[in-house]
Amino acid sequence: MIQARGLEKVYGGRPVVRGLTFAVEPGEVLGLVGPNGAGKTTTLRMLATTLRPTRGTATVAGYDVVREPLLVRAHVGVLPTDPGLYGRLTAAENLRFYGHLCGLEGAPLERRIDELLEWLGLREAKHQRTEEFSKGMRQKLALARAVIHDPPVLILDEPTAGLDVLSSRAVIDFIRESRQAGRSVLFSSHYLLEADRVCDRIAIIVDGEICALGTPAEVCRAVGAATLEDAFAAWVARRAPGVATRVV
Amino acid sequence: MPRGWRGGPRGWPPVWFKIRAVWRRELLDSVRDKRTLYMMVLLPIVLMPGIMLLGPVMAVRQQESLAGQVPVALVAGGDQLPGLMEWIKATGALAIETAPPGSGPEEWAQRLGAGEVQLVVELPPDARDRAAAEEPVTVRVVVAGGNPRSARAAALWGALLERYSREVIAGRLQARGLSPGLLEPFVVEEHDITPPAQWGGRILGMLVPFFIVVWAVAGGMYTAIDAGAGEKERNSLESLIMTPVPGTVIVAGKALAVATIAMVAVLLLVLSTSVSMLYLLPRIIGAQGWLPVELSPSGLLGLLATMTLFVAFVSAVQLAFSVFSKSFREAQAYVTGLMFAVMLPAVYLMFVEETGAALWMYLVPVLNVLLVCREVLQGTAGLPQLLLTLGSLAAAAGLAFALALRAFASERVLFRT
Repeated sequence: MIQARGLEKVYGGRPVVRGLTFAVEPGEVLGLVGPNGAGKTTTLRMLATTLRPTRGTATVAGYDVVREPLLVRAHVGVLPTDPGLYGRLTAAENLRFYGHLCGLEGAPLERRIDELLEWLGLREAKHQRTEEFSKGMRQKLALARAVIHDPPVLILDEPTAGLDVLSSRAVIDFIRESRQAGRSVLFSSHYLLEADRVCDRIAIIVDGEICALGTPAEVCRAVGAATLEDAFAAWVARRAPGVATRVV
Repeated sequence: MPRGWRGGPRGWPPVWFKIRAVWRRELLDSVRDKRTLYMMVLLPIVLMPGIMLLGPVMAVRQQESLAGQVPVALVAGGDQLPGLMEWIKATGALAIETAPPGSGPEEWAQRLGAGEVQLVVELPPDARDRAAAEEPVTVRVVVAGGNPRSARAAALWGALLERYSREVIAGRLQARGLSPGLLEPFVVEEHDITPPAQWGGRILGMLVPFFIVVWAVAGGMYTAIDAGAGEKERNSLESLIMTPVPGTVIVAGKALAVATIAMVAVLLLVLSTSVSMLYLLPRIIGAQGWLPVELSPSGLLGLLATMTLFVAFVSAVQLAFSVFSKSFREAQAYVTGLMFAVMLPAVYLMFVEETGAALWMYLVPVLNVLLVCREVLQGTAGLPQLLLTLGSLAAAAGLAFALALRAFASERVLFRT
């Protein structure tokens, strides 16, 4: 469902992402973990078609991110780092707007809105302006927005960043349910424990390059680490010693 | 295939359906924003007419207050010319107080400064003899500068003395068997060819064009800033561009929303200005009914078309600035600059005669709007000028839209924070 081949991005002559190649299959969750500035968000933005790769290519749901960006967007649900909701609009109005942009309307759209709000525990807040929402509620609504058109692929950038335990758990449950529904899920995270719990495979990205890709057990075994955190530190130290000192 | 992603509702092509969705979202967001409501509704309907009418109301009040009191002139040496004193008293326009014997200029100036009298008039001790000898009599008039009552008294005294002088001259000429007409070889009779029905248009023509160009910017300002820089600042722009909608559709919906808000603000301001100038102002100055305006259907159509295209042009420019800006504050600085920029042609236009503006002026956006709106309201608009204006504005609006689209399509612009 997601195929990246030699994906590269250069900003002002400086390579930020270098030759990433990976795939995410239907019903699989791939976690992209790495230190700050490793190129995670840039990678996700290229796959979501908001940034154009400098070199390489990728397909999402079978569509090319450069040649068919609108078709890619129609088949992917994206959660950016910041939920970016319209504060003066209610939860339902936010979802209705994105539904309309995805070509949905009328009774099917209203049913979908109710279904998503119910699923994420936001039914009571349906007619509440989102400027009054807590961070957790905003994140849940952004997830609902990402799947309003029922996409087969999900791209989530730091979905649990800054959330309390209960809200994080709700997001993790959402990712698991998405996997059960057969979606391909690619998400970036700083939280290794969380990645260990939910990911089928993990890609450790350092300085724009993937240095380890495999199941959590494989990633640990390759460097003889007992935990994913130790493995992460070891991989970072191999690739970029200065960065490893900062993250450990 | 996700459910129904390509579909629009029945009867709506998908592209228009999505433009409408963006337009409606922007409008909903805007009307819930107090800043937009202030610029769109409160200022045009309440504050601007208030500002326009405050001056005339105060002037009329002052006139009424002044007219209710007869100014007093303290006259020294009035006994020299008793005929003049009696004549002035008889008019009732100015009260005469004779300076007490033994008083002098210092005391008179003190009373003038204290507001007890509004004017001091000194006739020379030889005034009677000079008048009898038909020689000029020098009359010294002392006023309290800056005091409107004193200034009015001086003006009254001057007018009365001029009328009296004419009577004296006429008497002297008649005594010599000559006609007073000898001193008036020409008599000017002025006739205004402006039909009464055009007076309303002339008054509106002085104000409305300026309001249209300024409010086309001010009315949609916050909507435009919010639609670009505002979306960047609250990080909603990234989610928006990740939807399966072409940038053209998003920019079109946003530009349409900015133009809608600006157009409503402009129309409200034109309406409130018209009511203020044509109905309220005449009542303030004591007239009844409406001041008439002669506006043909084709003139009205031309005015609306000019306003619409200008609003479209300005909205697209504002949106381009807004998308290009890193923050709300940066966009606000650009748009404020734009507001001053549209005021410049209005200042220039003050030095251009009402008729006979060169054709090239109708190619310059803003200047052409000011000219055409003024000419339509004053009933002097020509078709070639109107067509040039509409063509120029349409081209400018298209160019501005292309710029906004280009800014929106640039990842360097979208992700510069």
